[in-house]
Amino acid sequence: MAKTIMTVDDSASVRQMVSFTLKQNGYDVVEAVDGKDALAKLPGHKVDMVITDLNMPNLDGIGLIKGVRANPAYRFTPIVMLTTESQDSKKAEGKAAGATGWIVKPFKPEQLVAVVKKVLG
Amino acid sequence: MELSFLHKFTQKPDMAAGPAGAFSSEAADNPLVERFGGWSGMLVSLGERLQFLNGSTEEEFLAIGARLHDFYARAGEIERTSRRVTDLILGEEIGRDMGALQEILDRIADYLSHAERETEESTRTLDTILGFIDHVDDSLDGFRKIIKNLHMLSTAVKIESARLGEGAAGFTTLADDVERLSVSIKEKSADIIGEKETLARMIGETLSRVTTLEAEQRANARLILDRTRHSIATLTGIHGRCSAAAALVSSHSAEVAEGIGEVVTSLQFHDITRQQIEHVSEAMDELCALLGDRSADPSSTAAEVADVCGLQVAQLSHARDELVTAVERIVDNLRAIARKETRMSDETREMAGTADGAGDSFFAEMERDMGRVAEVLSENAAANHNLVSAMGSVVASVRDIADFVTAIEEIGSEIELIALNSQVKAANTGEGGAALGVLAEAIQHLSVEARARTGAVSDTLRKVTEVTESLSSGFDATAGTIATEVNSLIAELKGLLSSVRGVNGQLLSLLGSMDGEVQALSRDIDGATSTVGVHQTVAGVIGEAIAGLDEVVREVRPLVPAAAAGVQERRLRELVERYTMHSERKVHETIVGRGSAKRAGAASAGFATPAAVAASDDGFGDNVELF
Repeated sequence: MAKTIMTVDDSASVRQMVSFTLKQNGYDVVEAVDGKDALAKLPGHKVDMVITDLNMPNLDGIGLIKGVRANPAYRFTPIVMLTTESQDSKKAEGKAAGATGWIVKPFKPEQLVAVVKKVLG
Repeated sequence: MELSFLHKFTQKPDMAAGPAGAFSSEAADNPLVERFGGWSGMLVSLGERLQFLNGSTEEEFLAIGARLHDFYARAGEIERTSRRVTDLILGEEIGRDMGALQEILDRIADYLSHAERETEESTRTLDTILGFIDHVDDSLDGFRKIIKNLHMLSTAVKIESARLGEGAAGFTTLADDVERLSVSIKEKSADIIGEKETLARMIGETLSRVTTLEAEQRANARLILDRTRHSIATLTGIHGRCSAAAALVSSHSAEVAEGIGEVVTSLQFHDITRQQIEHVSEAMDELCALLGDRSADPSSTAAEVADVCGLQVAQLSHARDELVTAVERIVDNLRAIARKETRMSDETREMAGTADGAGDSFFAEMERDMGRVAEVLSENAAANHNLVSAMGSVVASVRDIADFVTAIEEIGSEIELIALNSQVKAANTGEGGAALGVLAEAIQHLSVEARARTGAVSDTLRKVTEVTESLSSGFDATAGTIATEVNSLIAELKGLLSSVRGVNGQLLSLLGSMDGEVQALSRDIDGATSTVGVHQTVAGVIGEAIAGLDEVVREVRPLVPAAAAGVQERRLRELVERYTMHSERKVHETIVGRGSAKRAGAASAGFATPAAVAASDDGFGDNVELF
């Protein structure tokens, strides 16, 4: 059965490219426009991994990670940040919040797929 | 579309508009402050246009992204079709057909060699028969002399009989008998000559047909063998090319995947550029607020406006260049995908043995060759049948001649009886019949000669009959074998043709389908890329924003050359903190100076340079880090 990955980004074009890349490689994808939308959609899906932007309206990526980790069902679900942000301090913040990894935009499809395979085992 | 879209951004900023607040009388007297309104108006207007640009260009990126799904799926389908073509040619069916073709080639070669030997043998036999028949003429010449002599003897007997009168009455009947024999031999000889000429003509025609058949057989044999060998060599070549083509298709597939990957990467630059423009807009908003700050020192404010505007010009230039390059990469890669698909289709078609787009294939040519082989074999079998039939006629004709010879032999016996009878009568006639006795003796000599002549003719015709019947029976015996062999070859060729036709049909269907898919994909990619104008729109709006910011800088610099060092550093540090991207920091460093940026950067948060990121690279790339 295909694994489900949630992509969270306020940019529709980035969500589109993440979805395209993952679907071409056999994954099911759920899209959310920001952290708040993601947390709202999470209970309705069995999500195996989350790929989220950092800077988003309503609820940013760090807030989303904290929200996801607060749910016992998603305590160990891989969460990878996909952002233009490259500052070490931000990465440290994400890591402290419970992020599994960090990808700086723009990503290459093969990079994203390699990371997904790695973290999903 | 681009131009109509661009007009939304072309409203000129109002340079006369002033800041919202009012300055103190001292500050208001400063000539710099008079300019603040214009600069603020310019920055507000440019900021609004940049914000509008950010919110209005994503649709075009999304449209390209949506098409990418479709293009990728169709490119994959074309690749699968190309693989099916390769698999079909490399498949078991063609291999089996090749083996069968090789076997048939060998059998055809054997069959034709056999047919050639038979033709040579038939020709030799018919030549022999013709030679025998020529000898019949010599014997028949003798018959002409016998006929003449019999006629003369008949006349002489009649004269002598008349001279003797009553005593030689029986000789008149004898003369009539001799005359009748003369006529009879003449008639039979004429029949034999007629039949012999018919036979000679028949054999001549058969020989001519055999000779022609032989020439045709040899020519056709060369044609068949050459073409079949060529077909097998071509098929072997195609097999070789197919093996290489499988690797070629994989290579094409990897190139297309790489191109799609480039497009996926490039499409993200809308989001990247959007954020860069947002950072510029935020900086411009802050400048507007500063220009409206009545408590600020006008000179310091003006210097800061110039510094920040100059920096934003660099950031906008960088953002514009990145986005224009990204869109050009999208267009270039999509067009390259269309070209690669077309090339793969062409190479697949060429590999399959089709030199042009006429829908013809190597297999169609092979099918025609096989058809020709079957046709030639059928013609050959029919010619053999005709030859057997002609030999039957020769045998029948020789038998007819033999009947005539028997009749002549009977005449010879009759002459002998007449001669004996005349000798007895001459003896009974006494001395007066002495002359008749001489005539009777002459008739006796003729009967001996006639017997010798008929014996010679008989011997010759018996030889002809023997040879002819031997050849005929040989033909009868082999005709059945040849017919079976030819029918078997034709049946196998038909089976092979059916198989080749099936493969050819599948091949043409796949190639036709692939052609259609490639043409449609190329057309759609061409259509999609020809309408992409978002980069021109972005370049146009950013270009105007850069021109506006440059204008502000040009106005400020003659009035305030530089800001105080402390003020500049504080302001630039604030800007660095806003940056999220390494590229923004690089631009900042380039404009402001590495030392300043480092100080600003160190004072805020640390950021990873590519080198620093590379140091922690875990194989996924410089921009990926797993915790």
